[in-house]
Parts: sequence; structure tokens; C-alpha cells
Amino acid sequence: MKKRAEISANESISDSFEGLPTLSELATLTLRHWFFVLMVTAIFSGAFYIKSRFFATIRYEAKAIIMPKMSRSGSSMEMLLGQLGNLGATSGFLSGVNANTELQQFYRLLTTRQMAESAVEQEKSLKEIGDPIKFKDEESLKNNVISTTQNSLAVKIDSPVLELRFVANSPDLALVGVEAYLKALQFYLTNNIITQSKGAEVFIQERLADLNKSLDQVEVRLSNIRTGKISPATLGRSVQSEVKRTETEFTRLNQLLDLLTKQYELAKIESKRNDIMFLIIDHPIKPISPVGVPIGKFLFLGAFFGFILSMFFLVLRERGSLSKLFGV
Amino acid sequence: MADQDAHSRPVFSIDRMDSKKLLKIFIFVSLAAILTAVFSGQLFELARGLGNNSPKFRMDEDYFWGVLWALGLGAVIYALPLGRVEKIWLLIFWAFRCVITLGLMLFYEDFYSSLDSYGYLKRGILAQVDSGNFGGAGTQHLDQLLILTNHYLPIHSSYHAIKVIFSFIGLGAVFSIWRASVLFFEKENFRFFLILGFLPSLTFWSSVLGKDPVNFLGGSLYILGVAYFFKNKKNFAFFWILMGTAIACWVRIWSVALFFLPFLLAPIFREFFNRKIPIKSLIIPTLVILLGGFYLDSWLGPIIESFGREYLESLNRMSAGWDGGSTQDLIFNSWGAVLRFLPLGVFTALFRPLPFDVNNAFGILAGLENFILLLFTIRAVFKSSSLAWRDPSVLWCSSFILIWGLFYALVSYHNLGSAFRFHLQVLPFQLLLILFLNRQKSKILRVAELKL
Repeated sequence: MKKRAEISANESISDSFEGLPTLSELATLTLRHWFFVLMVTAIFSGAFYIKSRFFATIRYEAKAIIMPKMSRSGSSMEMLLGQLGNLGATSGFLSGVNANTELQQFYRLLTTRQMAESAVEQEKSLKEIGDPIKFKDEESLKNNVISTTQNSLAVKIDSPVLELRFVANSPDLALVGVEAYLKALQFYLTNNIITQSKGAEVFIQERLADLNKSLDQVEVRLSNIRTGKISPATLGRSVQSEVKRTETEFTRLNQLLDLLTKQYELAKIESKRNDIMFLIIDHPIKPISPVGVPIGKFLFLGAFFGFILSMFFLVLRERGSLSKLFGV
Repeated sequence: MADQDAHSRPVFSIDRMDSKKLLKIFIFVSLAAILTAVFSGQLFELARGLGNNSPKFRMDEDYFWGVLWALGLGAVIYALPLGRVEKIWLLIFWAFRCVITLGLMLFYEDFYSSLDSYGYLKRGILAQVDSGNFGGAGTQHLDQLLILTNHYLPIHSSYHAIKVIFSFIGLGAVFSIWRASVLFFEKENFRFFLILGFLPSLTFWSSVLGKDPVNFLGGSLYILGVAYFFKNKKNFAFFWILMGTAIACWVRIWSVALFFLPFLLAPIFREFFNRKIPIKSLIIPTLVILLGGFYLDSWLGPIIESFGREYLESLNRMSAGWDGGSTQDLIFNSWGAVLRFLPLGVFTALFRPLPFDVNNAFGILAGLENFILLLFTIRAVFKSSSLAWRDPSVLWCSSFILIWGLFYALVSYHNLGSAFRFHLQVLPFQLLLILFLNRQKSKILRVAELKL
């Protein structure tokens, strides 16, 4: 405590600016010191070079840029995404996105585990290109495809487009990865749109059957009134007014039938259409050079690190023990 | 004398070393270099893998510039004309900050898919169209600052590099608070310096890419200005107070009220304490406020609410504006409810999250830290002499804390996640207040000593 108090007293505010290890001290360094600095810098840069040149994991990256087709109504996409349910939530995106733009919806779709599984299913070669990545089983392969630390798909929104990049240990796998995802996306969207339209087609068909039945009943009732099979007493009103009412209903049901028939035709067309939900602006190509920090930069980092470390070391050694330096 | 001898010595004893010693150094340096190279390679891989949530691709390359800036700014600290001890500590703090900024923060960024930092990165650095909310004027100011930074500094659009620069700003703020404490207490309390430099939440939130480090710097310069004010150095005082206020207002406009209201409130407190009313009697006004809240509801409620309904709605809107991961529901139906809520709200803003409030890694750490802070505050308040409460520095500091608490009560309660971040603004004031209250009686500043 006493020592601390002494140091504290010695190192008062005004004194603390005196006798500092400032840059001027560099002038007092001898040739031998500079040799030391050079040696440390060279050793560090050498170590960094060897690491990046011979022991670094080489990775390749294939990319594709897609743009959602805006003519498609957003509501249908929302319905599709509603089907994802918890899958969307597991992707961790529900909390972060506030606007329901199509880009964000695509992002959500692409970052689900279901999409990763579908990609593996779509592109069987993902399983075959096992070297240098060795998948133990199907599950580890799926994990790897969406993993954040290994070979994975990364999706970024750069409005109005979406960029997909797949990083892998080989150029082939990188390309296959992106293509698999694009196919999986297309498959998913198309499959679900057709399912939806098929659902609509069946629904309208059932309504049409009901309508035809009602129409038949009204027609029979009308002919019965006209032919006198139903007595005026049971009608509870005049025959003319009942005929008029039934005729009006008949006309309304006929109009409804026309409308539903048109809807039915459209639903049938929709259910058979294999529509494109997004445009691929930049198609993926096989990467020719690896990605990552270039060797030159790595070398520079090592040299810089070595230089700074050696300079600090010189000053620390010159100033004596660390405890004295810290003053505590 | 011994120090002078040390200066007269040759800079480094390498001159006297023989070849054996040099060989040993060579082997040691080589091993260190190999380990560093392997470690940094792994670190780059980690940065790439954990950076998937970022709006940028190839985060390993981005990380490279971050590391380079961290080293460069370390060298800048070395070259600064500062005291030797301070400089060494600053270098250690900087190393600690780099571990957090370039290490632990990667996991935080991987955990949260949507962060404010990414919005700044998108708009300010990558110049992308952001479909989300742009926020207020402060957000736009920061966007513009980032555009300029990216244009004039060689950061190569690197997210990690800009984060490191912001962390450096945070370190500058820590240094300002430390120098202010030296002025306040007229001695170098290195324990306080260590607390400032190693406090996890302070280090973390003053290292993120966002408004917090800038606002923190503004606040710290303001504290430095006030410290000069208490030392009767008016020119320095006004310069630093205005500088601090300008910087803080640039990102959060309401800082001007936060910084200047304590000067108005402190004299009221002084009068209160000069009448020698014991601190414990504060319990009665608190109860009056609480009961008043209930009465406002039943008697005056309808009258006041008919005037204030619109403001109440804006209050609810403001509170709901800070949604996030740790959101709590908070809707006020009356002004009485607002009044009743305030004590809890102020406490939440100042000391929550406490342990078990937020059950994730960040929440637990912040909870522990807040719990310790609360204990120290309670201890300081109960151990303080009545004379201490008449000390202008205590009055100023406690006024600031109270006003800040009232300002942030709603937001902090509504979103405890935001409370983490916002707490950074008031944390140095809370630490200083503990120190002020623990001050020996003979050291207590009297109003008469100030030449106003």
C-alpha cells in the first residue's frame, strides 16, 4: 500500500507527462535493436506466410443473384410462408424482420432447414462429392449444408435482389450447392402453388355442384307453380308474385353459375401452370480461384504484428519490471 | 533518481547479449509467431463462419482489416503523449477491448440475426437500400459519419474495422472519465481506472457499431467539463461541457436536456439537504407520490386525462417504439398509472436487469453486474454522511442520475434488452456517485469553495 501511495504521489498529473516512452526514443535505438525488430518482423511474417500458403483451408465460392418476380401477388407468398410455421421461426429471422417484402420472405424460405434438406434431395451429387468433406451420414450432410462454420449457404438481401453464395472446399461442390438451392426453391414454390390451385379447383367444383342442385330445385319449383302442381293456398301469396320471386332467384343463381364456371376455368389453368416465381439475374458458374484472405495480406499482417510486438517489447524491457510500470 | 538512471541506461540490453541468449530469444519468438499465425488463421475462419447474419459476404476478409486497425490503433496509443503508467494500462485495456470486439462479439453477432449495427453497415458502409425504419435524426447523422469514415479512412468497407474504431472512441471516453476522476478526487485512483477499463458491459456496449460509443464519449467529455468546473477552471469547463453536449446531441438530441437539467435540479436538492432533512425522510415523498397516483386515478383522473389523453397515447407509442427480444408489455391507461409506475421504471432503468430477469448469457452477466452495482450503491448511500449530500458534485451527479432515470424509465422497462445498452450512458455517473459518497469528510467539496 505504501509503495502504491508513493508511486501515486510521484506520478501526479503534471509529472506523468515527463520521461515518457515516446517516439523520440526510437532515435536512441542502435543498429542492433533495429536488427532485432527486423528479425522478429521477419519471423512473424514467415510464420504467417507458411500458415496461409501451406496449412490454410482452401475454399471456393459460387454465387447467384435472384430477383423475386413482382407480378406475383405477395399474399400468395405469405400463405406459403404460413405453411412453414415454426420452420421460419427456427431460422431466427422472424424476430428480426419487420416488413413483409418479398425479398425478406425469400430470405426466410432459403434459410430454413427444410430448404437445406430439399437442396440435398434435389442434388444427389451433393452426397457424392464427399471428398474432401466426409459426411458421416445423411443428418451430418444436412447439417453441413446449413452450417454456419463449415460449407454453407449464405443469403444476403441487397434490395431489390437477393444474393446467394455457397462456400465449399471444392469448386464443383460450391457450384452444385448454389444450383441445388435454386432448384429446391423453385421446386418448393411451384409445388406449393400447384397444391394451392388444385385446392381452389376442388373447392369451386364442389360449390358448382351445390349451385347446380339449387338451380334444379328452383327450376322444378317454378314449373310446378306454372303447371299448378303447387296450389296457391300452400304458397301463402299470389301466384304472380311467387313466380316473379322464383324467376329472380333463378336468374341470380344462373349469374352465379356463370361466374363460378369462369373461376373454375381459371383455377384449372392455374393448377396446370408451372410458373417461375423468381428470375435468376446472375447464374452460378464454377469458381476458378479460392476465396479467403489472400496470402499477401496475411503476410503483411504477420509483418505488422511482428513489428509492433518487437517495438513494445523493446520499450517494456527498457522500463524494467512490469509491476513497477503498472504502479499498482 | 532511480528513474533517471533508467533513462540513462541503454534502451535495450540486447547490446550486451551473447549469441546464446539471442538464440533463445529467436526460438521463443519463432514459437510465438507460429502460435499466433495458427491462432489468427482459426480466428479468420471463426469470423467467416459466425458472420453469416451480417449483410456482408466474406467476413474473413472484412475481419483482416479489423485486426489491422486494432494493431494500428494500439500503436497510436503507444505514440500518445501520456503518462507511462496510464499508457501501459490503456494498452492493456485496448487489448481487452480487442478481445471483446474481435472475439466475443462474433458470437453475439451470430446469435442475433438482426442488429442495429447491421443497419448502419448497410446504409453507411455498403450504401444498400434498407427497407426497415431509418430511425430519427441521430441515426441519419451516424449514417453520414460512416459514409465519410469509409470514404476518407482506409477501412475498405470493413464492418470489423469500423467496430474497432468505435471501440477506440469508447476507450477515449473511458480515459476522459478517468481524467475527470483525477480532477474530482485530486489523486490517481487506479482501482477506478481498472473498473472503467475492465467492466464487461461498459467495454462491450462502448465497442459496438452504433450510437452508444459516440453518446458515451459525449457524456464522458461532459463529465470532464464538470470536473474542470468544480476545479474552478471555467474555460476548460465550458469547452468540454459544450463539446460533450454537442457530440451527445448529435446522436441523441434529448441529451441536451439530460446534461443541463441537473444544473437546475441540483440547487433544489441543495436547499433540501441544507435544511438537514434526513435522507430517510425521502420515503415519505415517495409514498406521497404513490398514493397521489391512486388518487389521481379515482378523483382527478378523468379531468386530467381529458387534457392529457393525447400525450398519454404518445407516451405509449414511444414506449412501444423500442421493441426487441426482451420486451415487456407496458400500456398506460391513465396518468396516475404513469406516476405509480415511475419508481419502478427509474429503478429498472438504473439497476435492471437483475439476475434472473433475462436468462441468456448477456442477461446473466448484466444481471450480476447490476446486482453488484446496486449493493455498492446501497452501501454508499447508507454509509454516507449527511455532509456528503451537500457536496455540489454529489448533488450534480445524483440529479443527473435521477433525471436520466426518469427519461429512460419507460423505454428501459419496456425492453430490458435496450436497458443493457442505455445503461452505458448513466453507468459512469453511478460509479462516480459511489466514489463521491465514500469520500472522506475532510475531502467533501463545499459550495463556498466554488467560484460561481
